[in-house]
Amino acid sequence: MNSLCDHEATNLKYFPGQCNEGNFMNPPTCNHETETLNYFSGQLSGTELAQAENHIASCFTCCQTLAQLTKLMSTNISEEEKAFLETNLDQSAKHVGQLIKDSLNKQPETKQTNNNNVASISAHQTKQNNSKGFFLANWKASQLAIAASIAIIFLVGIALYQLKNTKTENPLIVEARASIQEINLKGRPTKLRMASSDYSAENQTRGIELEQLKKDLLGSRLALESLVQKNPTPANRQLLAQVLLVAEDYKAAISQLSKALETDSNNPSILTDLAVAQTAQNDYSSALESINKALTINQNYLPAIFNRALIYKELTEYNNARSDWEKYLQLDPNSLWATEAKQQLNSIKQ
Amino acid sequence: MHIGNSFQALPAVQLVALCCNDENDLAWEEFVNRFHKQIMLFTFRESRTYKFKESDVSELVQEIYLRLLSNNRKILKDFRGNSEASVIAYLITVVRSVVTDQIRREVAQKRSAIEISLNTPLSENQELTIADLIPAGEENSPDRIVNEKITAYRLKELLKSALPGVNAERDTIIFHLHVINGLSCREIGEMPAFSMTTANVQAVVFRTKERLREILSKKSAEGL
Repeated sequence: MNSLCDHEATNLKYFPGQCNEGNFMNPPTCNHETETLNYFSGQLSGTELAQAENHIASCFTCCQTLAQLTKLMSTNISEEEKAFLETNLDQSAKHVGQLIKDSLNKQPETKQTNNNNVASISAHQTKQNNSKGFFLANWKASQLAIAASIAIIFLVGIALYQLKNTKTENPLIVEARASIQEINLKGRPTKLRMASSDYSAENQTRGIELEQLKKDLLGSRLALESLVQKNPTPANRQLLAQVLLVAEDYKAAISQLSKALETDSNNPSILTDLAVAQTAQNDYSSALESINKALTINQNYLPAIFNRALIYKELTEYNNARSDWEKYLQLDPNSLWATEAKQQLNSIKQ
Repeated sequence: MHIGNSFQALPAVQLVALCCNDENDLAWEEFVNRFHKQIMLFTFRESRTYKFKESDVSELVQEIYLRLLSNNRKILKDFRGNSEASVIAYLITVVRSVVTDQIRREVAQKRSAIEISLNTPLSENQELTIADLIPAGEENSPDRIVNEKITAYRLKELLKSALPGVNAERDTIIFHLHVINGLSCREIGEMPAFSMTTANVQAVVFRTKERLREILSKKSAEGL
């Protein structure tokens, strides 16, 4: 009997037909309710899912909770519900809209308040600075030492906090990278290979699934666009450009990459992606120029060598293409990219 | 960058992600357009279960949004689902927790307002207390409670022996929801936790019933 939920006796009163009117104000509770709620909304996976399932299977309260939640979710709307929504929906939506606006604008207000605080603190400090000599003269050496130690600890704390924050990667970036990789797995989305992407085979059939993935990428695109607006680093621009390449918006991708190069002109991976976008627009001469610049910066940069060979092939400069494939295979003899390079080399030889 | 017009085409999961990643008025506008009706409906249903007044619903709805926005939109950031159904289910869990908290607050207020001990004597000269005058309800009778506990325990043990394999727990939950809680197979199948077709749920229920029948007939043959 020990494995039964602690609140089972309470819960049993909630079985259909047994719920008594006097208890309506006491919703059934169990210590595992949070897990049950997460289980219901499909938030769990792996061990958490197994643990929650194990508990719910033996807990009447949690089963009851699941049943109640499912009934709430029903798409059948009764006449009473319809009437309620008709009367209240618009007004409530207005209230809620205002509430959200107020809540979202609260932060700048706080910042304003902070600025005011900063201003008042500065004014206070100016006043204090005027009497600084006198103020410090009253301090003993030991007090000064303690104050200095506190200040150092405070500064180290701030530095550590900032270091930690810079190390944590923005979830948007992680999500966008994952989306690109997922699409990449279905087949190379561009003629050339994008810098820093895993292997993906060329000329694969594009199915409905891929189209769905591309639609899903729209969210990453929007989010990255606002991220770039806020924080236009070359890395953020390059990632946005990769998303744009996958979304086949080559013009926008070239614009982002050109802007990234304005601040980071010696980055071979950005130059390589620029060549990818230019090739997608059939502008092979510009692509070749970009890729040559990338190889001037780093002559052994694999994606650039690989892409240049492909560009030479398109331009029917087979001797150049062959020498690039051979160089590529010397530097990277075993990867999946190398397998494709071997095939390309063989086809040129034939 | 035509951000504004694109929100309507956005899948629900990504809309939620945008609502939590930055203070994006347009994303929230679309969130309200898409989910406010459902949030209102769920709150209305949940509040009716606990006999709230209709006028309380709009306050509860505002409380739900405040909760979604609180702590730098932590609730939305914690969302880990991958389908529109899971977004809706997640919103239902938020509705439920807001309503439940409200009930707990009200119950706590009521308790603090009427604090009379059941052991208080009715008068100074009498030994009788309030508790002695309150009749014990049928639902609180010791026999009934014990019976209910034993029934539940037996059912649990039977299901455990009837459902071996990887999906034993899931199938037990499905059986409970269908047979005890009265959910239809379609309703169960639509739960994001299962994401099963109605036919699959029906098959699980049928299989479980068959196995229980086998076990029970075997036990009755053995004279247990």
